[in-house]
Amino acid sequence: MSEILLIAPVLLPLLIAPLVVMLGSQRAGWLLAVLAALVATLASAALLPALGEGPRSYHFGNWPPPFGIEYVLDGLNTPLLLLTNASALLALIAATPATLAGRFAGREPVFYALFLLCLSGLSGILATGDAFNVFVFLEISSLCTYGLVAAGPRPGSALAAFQYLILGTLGGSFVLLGVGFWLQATGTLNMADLAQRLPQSEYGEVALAGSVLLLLGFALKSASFPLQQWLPAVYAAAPWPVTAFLAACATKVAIYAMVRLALDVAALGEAARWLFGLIALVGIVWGALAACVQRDLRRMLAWSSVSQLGYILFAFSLGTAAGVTAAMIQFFSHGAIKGGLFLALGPARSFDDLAGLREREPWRCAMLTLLTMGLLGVPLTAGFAAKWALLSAAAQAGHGIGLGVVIFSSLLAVVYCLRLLEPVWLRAPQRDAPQLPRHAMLLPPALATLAMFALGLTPWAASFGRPAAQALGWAP
Amino acid sequence: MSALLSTVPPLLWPVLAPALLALLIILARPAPNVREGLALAVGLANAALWLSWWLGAPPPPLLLHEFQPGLSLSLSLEPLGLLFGTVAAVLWPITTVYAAGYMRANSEERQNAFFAAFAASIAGAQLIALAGDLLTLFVGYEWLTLATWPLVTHKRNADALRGGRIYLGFLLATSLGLLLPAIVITVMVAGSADFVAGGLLRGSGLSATALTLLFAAYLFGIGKAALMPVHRWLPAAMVAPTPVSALLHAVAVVKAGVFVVLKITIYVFGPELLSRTNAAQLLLWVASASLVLASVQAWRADHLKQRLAYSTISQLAYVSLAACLLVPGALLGGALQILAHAFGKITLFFCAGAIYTAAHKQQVSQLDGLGWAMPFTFGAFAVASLSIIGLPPGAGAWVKWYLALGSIDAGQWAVLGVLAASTMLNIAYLLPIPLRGFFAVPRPASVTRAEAPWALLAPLLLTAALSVVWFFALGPVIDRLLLIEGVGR
Repeated sequence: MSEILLIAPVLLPLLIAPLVVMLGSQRAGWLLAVLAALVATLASAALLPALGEGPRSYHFGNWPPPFGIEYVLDGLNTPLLLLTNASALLALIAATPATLAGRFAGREPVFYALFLLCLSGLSGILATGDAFNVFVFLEISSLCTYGLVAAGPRPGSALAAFQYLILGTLGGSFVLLGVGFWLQATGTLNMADLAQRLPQSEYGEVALAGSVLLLLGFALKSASFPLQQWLPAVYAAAPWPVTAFLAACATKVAIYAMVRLALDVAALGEAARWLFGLIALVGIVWGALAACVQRDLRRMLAWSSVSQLGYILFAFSLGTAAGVTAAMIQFFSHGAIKGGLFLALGPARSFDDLAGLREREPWRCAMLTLLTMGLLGVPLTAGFAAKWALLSAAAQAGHGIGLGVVIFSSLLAVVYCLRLLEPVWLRAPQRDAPQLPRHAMLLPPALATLAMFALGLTPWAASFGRPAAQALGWAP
Repeated sequence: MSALLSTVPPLLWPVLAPALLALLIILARPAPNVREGLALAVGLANAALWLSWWLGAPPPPLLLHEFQPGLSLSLSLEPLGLLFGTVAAVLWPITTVYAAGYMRANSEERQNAFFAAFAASIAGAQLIALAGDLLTLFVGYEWLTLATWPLVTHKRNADALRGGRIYLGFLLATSLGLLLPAIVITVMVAGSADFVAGGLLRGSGLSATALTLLFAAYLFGIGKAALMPVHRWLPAAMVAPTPVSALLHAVAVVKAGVFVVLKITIYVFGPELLSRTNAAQLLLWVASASLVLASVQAWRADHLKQRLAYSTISQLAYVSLAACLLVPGALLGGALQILAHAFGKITLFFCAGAIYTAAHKQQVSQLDGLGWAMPFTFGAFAVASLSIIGLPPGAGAWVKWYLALGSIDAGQWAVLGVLAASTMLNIAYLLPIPLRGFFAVPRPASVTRAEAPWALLAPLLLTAALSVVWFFALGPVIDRLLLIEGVGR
């Protein structure tokens, strides 16, 4: 049983996806997709209790590694597996056929299949212990993302998807080249095996070039500074449940891959951490500044994501157990908050769309307000727990610049969060405000809001800090 | 029902009751009379609860939630918090009556939201008063900031939006940018967030420079204390309806600020540590400068509420000054200022609101001769002015007395000069207002009385009377405050 659990989060959506298409019905397709995401979420939750017992691995076809493909679930990727699947679940609940509003002319099942394949790809990147497999899953998730983004309602959605495709393919090619270089240098693709052989490889330069290419590829996918330009366009163009899903977990998976490959497998150590710290800190400020001046609501939140993702990378760059704890909290905190915000915003795109929400939709207004508080880092929310952990970790590591940057960016967050709250609370309703989805659609953002408070009030996310640090070898 | 009520620990009520009231007003949308009656009832019960704590033994501390070892939400009652909490609790029902009268007389919109946010703000202020550790304090502090934002922006016009931006921007930026990092560093250095008699950081071994920086981060991070240059939010907040300016921006919010300053000085640093390392010397001069400069600004302002706002900034600096003098007498004076200034300044704001409601005048220069039409209002204004200036029979006289003693005690003769200069300025910007009202023009032969409605008049007469009563009845308050280590000798 437990063997199946290890691969269920990856395989289940992968296998259900074609079924959804074959079924053909919109409603049944949606239900099946939700069900698949639910089971995958439960399966990844069931993996958590045994987190302290060290990494568990599954050998495909019973081929022992390094010959066969191996899945390794340890303290770093198991919690993220849950985050990814839970985000997909909430986004899928929101993405009813009614939400998609007939933009597919009867081909909605394809949308759900793409969604499930994308989820499977992201879970695969997290779970696999095989470098080439990472590339395969990256391509699966990316290709599906292009399709999902192109399904957006804006005239420019297809163009945005195409631009993303070009950049994404570039990133994917870097990853493929990197994996190829590593194979060339070591003769293996298994991560654990690579970790042993890379330092001893007689083709050190080739191995290093491979690492750099891999980093480049995933820096692009994770929208790390200065490769973040695609992110706002994609978030603005995609259908809103897709934006919520991507914002909650997609870039985080790429950050995981960066950390896993550079700090764990290639063990680049000091140099990579220095680089991570640099791009993270610049990205934190750049993203927050850009968020302050955006005219488009979703682009503002997207730039805020660039800033908030920088927190995660910066936390990892500290190279301490406290830093990893802060990163784990921020993974979940930002996932719940940003995902929840996009779910609560629904199809609203401009600040004008939010005018008078307090009168029109008090519940949505309440959730948006609370989630924005979380983004601000107001106490009792997950955002505060994350900021507290990050500030403590930076102070503990004696990283004064990092401390200053995080504080400065949270001041900028005040500016952009206020821009969101003002129309919601103080502006008079507009006459041609967009029709927001029915009240049933309030369930996903409500769950995200609850999750945000649960994360803020309990040490649940912080409890992953130690296993995750162990997985990276930074804690005994 | 009573069994259910008694399961709630007594310390939780002052936070829970206003919060529930706010929720009830939002969700049930009661009729105006029911709403204000309910608010008054909750306010009176709350005030009675606080007053009962002066008589009996303080209730036991309460641990609400533990995030991780060393970090928790907890409530506890100590003399300083008792003073601040009681002041806010006693003035809340009085302001409720005033607000009911004011909002109706000026036919303000969205009164439901107004009263809900008002109650929520009180809950935040009382959480600050009862906070048992730094984290809880910070929770209450941010809560209060956010809950008062809808009140500041109540009018929703361009001015209100701008005021709201400055208000939230200043208060959130200082708290997230300075106060939170200061708290994080304190907790890291001391290993705990609890308030400790004699000072949490006493044995921390921080250098004098580090202590100076940390103390400065706290003092400027507590934006609600409005120490220059982080004072701009307070004049901006005056776009709010007058009851808000009265209770929140003359009492609950700003007093929360100076209360936190005193609390941090006494329970986190400890006066002994600060005076040994001389960490507060620089900030003493910042507070002195703030005190005099704000008085000058008040003197130059013609808009009545602006003048009162700058006066508040100046008066708050007295408390920061007291915190930097670090001698027992000065700290006592600072603590008494929370009480004395609250009753004095709320009266002044009540008067400003009454004048606006009855005569629609907002500028000082328009008040000539108005005193004969509104003798009670202008009389109350004169009495409260005396208290703010620090002249008997106003309660403020004791504040000046103890501060002067404290500055002599600390050997800071220059500060004595600052106090004298500020008193002169206080006289110059406050007393002309009642004087203009009565004597700027000869008394007209026939005077028509045009006082504000009783709901506005009664509260301001009561608070004016109370600021005189406190002049004679401060004994028990001082006795209780002397129990604090560092304030008592």
